[in-house]
Amino acid sequence: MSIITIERKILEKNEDLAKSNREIFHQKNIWTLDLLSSPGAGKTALLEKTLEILKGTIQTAVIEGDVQTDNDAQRIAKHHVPVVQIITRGGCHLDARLIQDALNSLPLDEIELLFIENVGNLVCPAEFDLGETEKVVILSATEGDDKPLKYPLAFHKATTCILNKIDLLPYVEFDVRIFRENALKINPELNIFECSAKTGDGIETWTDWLIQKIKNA
Amino acid sequence: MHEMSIAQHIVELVENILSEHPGQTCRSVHLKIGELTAVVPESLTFAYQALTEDTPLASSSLTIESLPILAKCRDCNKVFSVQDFEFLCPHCSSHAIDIKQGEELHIEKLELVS
Repeated sequence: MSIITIERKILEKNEDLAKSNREIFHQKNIWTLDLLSSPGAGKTALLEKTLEILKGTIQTAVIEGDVQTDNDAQRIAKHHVPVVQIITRGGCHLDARLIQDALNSLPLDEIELLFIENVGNLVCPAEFDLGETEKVVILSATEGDDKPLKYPLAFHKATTCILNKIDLLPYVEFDVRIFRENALKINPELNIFECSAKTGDGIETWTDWLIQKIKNA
Repeated sequence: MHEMSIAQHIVELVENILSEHPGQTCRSVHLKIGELTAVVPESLTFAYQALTEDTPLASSSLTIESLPILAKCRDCNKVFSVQDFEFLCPHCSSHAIDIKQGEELHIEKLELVS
């Protein structure tokens, strides 16, 4: 019997591709956000509201990741921004190769801000680097204030967190103070926004932050 | 179930390495998996078995070493173990900490037989 010591990263191939995506984003001066959430947290609704506000101010584009259907891409296309749908056919997350392929279909010279809407899932997408500038985790008030403790990796890897559906807070048992405590325990530097994609409440704090980031980039 | 995708990456890496060692078969793949990754060892083992069934790797198995999360405080320089995902220095209560261990997803070594 022989033992070979190799000490290699299991996801080295994905990491190499993510690095090359990151170089493209850097070269083209594109700020890229990877949006993570459970199914139904309101990622697409939040994105639609965000695109509406940013229209005419920032040049945006969207990569949509879904297990099946291009329903979300159709919703985004109504906002007249470049959009590419990736259908993973059962795959529970996007990876750097899928993003690399999608980039071939986008007008990279005309994009300042690229949103990647990952597959609805708080476990797997957290593990895969896509080459994004930052990961943004979205959760909704209907999901429970202990969610950060249940999905620590997603909240640890994200730099920003959006609490969506705050219009439902009076009807659900969600304590914003406890949620914040839990999220900051996992990631003390997490930047937290509270909003409702439905009523528009709080959305401008988030979009102002985006505009500021792009202007300073 | 990203364990399936991770298992695919492992199989691919092991197959590549084996191609450089003709005539040998793999008996065991040693992995180091940090506790900050959301990998469930049982699911990874299950996925690896499912993927290698009826292949030259069918007789190989995974040996998984879990690595606890260790961090170093930037204020008091002490290294500590992170309990319950609380990223706070237990010595000086600082939040300014760097992860030193726990994010690994590594293949460490292979055991080959002729």
